[in-house]
Amino acid sequence: MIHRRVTHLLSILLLIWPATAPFAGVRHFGYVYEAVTSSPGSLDVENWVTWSHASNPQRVDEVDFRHEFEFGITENFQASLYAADWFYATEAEHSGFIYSDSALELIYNLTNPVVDPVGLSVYEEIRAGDRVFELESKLIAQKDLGPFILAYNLTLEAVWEGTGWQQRQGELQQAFGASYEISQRVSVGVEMLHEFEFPEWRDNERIRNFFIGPNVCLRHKNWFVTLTGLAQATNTPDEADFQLRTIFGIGF
Amino acid sequence: MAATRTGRHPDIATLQQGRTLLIRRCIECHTLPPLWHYRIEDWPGIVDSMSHRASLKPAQREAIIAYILAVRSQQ
Repeated sequence: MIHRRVTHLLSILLLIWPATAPFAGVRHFGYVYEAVTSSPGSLDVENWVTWSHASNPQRVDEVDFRHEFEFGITENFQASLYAADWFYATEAEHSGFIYSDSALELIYNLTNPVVDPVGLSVYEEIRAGDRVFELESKLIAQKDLGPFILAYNLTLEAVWEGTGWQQRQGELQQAFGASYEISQRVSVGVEMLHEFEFPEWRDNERIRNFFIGPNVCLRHKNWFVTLTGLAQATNTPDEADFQLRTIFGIGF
Repeated sequence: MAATRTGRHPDIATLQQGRTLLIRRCIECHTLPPLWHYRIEDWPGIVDSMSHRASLKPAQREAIIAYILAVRSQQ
């Protein structure tokens, strides 16, 4: 039902959007958000694929897919629709593709990463599916120093999962990324995630996860590809040991 | 002050608009190179080639070029 409504909304938006909308911008990171928002009237489509691998036999490998439509609304404001988040999982009982949720993401830019001491943006995401509802708030900081882009995200997530969304979980996350522009078309860098998980909004289990790894971003004309690999530096058995994310974006 | 491509000298408002657009639109895709990195005569073509991707209208594109040429003329 939710999936159908999102598809209808997306169809209407695409019909009324300018047919020759320019490119919305490049992601230099796979996991870390940048403070820069898309120019007004721009549109791009981003397809995400994330493969998560765990050595723990209790946990299966999973491939997650996301189809995102990103719209520049004003000079400082952009909106994105995640038309569908879905995944493929291999389990003992069954394997297959499963629809997870759809989401709306809003980003408002406050200061510029080039001329201001630090570029800041605020981010809000509302995600809903048959078995999950999530609110995610983020403060995004960025500084451009010559060919370097430094970005930091502080994120608070509130998640309701399961039948009737009865299981509650909170998560605080900080993420840092650094990217170096080798040429106009190529950047390389590093990203890290530090997560604090609070099942039922309690910290009894003291779950802390840390991931770190390299990234590369290739871009040309109206498309880009960003690839990030992250390895878990902590020892949380319920989390992936390794995850690889590719984002392919194209403007129309 | 350097003239624009049309031969007219840009006013302060145009130069301010050019600077604002340069530091906003261009960094959606890449970091900003030092303005002395390219030759003066190359800049109009560089900005032209990326203007659609950056959602620049013709007047905005000219404002960016005017700002870059004005800065370069001071160096």
